[in-house]
Amino acid sequence: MDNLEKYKNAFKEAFEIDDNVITDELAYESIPEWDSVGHMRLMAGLEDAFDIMLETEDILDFGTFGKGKEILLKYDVTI
Amino acid sequence: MKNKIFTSPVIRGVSVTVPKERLSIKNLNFDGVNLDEVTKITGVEEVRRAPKNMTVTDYAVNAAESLFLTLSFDKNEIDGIIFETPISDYLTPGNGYVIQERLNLKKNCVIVDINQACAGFVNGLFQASLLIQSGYCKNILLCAGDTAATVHQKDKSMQTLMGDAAAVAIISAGESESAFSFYNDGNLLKALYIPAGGRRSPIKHNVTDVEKADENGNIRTLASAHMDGLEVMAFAISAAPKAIKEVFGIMNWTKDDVEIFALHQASKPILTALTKRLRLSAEKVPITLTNFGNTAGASIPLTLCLENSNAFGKWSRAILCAFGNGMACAAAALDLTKTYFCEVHEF
Repeated sequence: MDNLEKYKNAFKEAFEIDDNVITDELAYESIPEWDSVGHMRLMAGLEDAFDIMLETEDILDFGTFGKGKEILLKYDVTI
Repeated sequence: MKNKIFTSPVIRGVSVTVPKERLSIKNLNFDGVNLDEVTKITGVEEVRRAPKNMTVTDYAVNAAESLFLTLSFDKNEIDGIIFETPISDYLTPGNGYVIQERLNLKKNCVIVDINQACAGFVNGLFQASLLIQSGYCKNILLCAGDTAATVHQKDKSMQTLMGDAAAVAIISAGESESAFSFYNDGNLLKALYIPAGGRRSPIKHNVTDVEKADENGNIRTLASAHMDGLEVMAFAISAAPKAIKEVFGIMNWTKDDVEIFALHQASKPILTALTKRLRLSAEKVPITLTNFGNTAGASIPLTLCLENSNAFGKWSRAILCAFGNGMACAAAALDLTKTYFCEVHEF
């Protein structure tokens, strides 16, 4: 499984959504599933998938699917 | 003391008192809010709520008296008092003086007041340990807790989460190894705070008592508690693993050595995320918020008393980790086999 697939899977599992909902613009609170609790599930899923530990400011900055890719670069994860 | 490891302080006993008044979260009334769904998310089904004329000191007095009795402890041996709570009975002095007067403790004791909420019990243990290790004190009475009186009645995010309780512990000079670590971030102080009522923004009619809804429909005034749930969660899941790993380093422990991770009962999503993040076995992370909610500084001692009622602790290697307003996070590595945990009292 490549990194993009792992990344998308983390979103699908955290929010129980289909592939077609996932775009770079998918944003925090743009769908009911991506609320604060869903956000924590997503962060835990990403940490599991990429074996990283996100910093507080990155958890708070992680506002869109696209932004998340930039943040993961800081952890040497290229999507 | 060597390499940040305390060698003297021993927690002799812990006692917790909760209000007898029970409040089922499902019986709260918030227009258009599915409280079954809220309960499912937070994990909190019921909380204890103090009547308006009761404060945390009333419950702390009850808990302390029962602890003295249970341990057959002479209260005149207390030479230090530490009281941890975010809102004292009076603007000043702090509750340490209130509890000294209420329990008639001796006059030549050290009194320390700590203005903190959820992380306060662990911070209080650290302050007690310093006083014991230095040789200045022999027996410290530590009190911690809060009542949710500063939460606005129409604030659904906090009304459905917060419960009332007071915990007390006696920490004495003896022989035991323990260590502490901290991770604090004042940049996030507004994630959980009360904006008005202090020097920066005094109470002012038609200003600090004006109700305002946040983007999630929680109604607050400037004089009531404000919480940004996402910031609190982000801090908790990021800070707690750092603090726990640091204390492991000091004690040279690994997570497999630890018999219990008593984490602050903030909410079920935070406990679940931390268990997953630290890759812990769920059996080692008790969840006790279902029937008591988030009881701030009392939540860790409450958890320990519920898990080990009326007995000496069964944990020779315990990790305590609490996080809350500040934002503050404190972790402790302790041997709790010499600690007697009382049954939780109602008052």
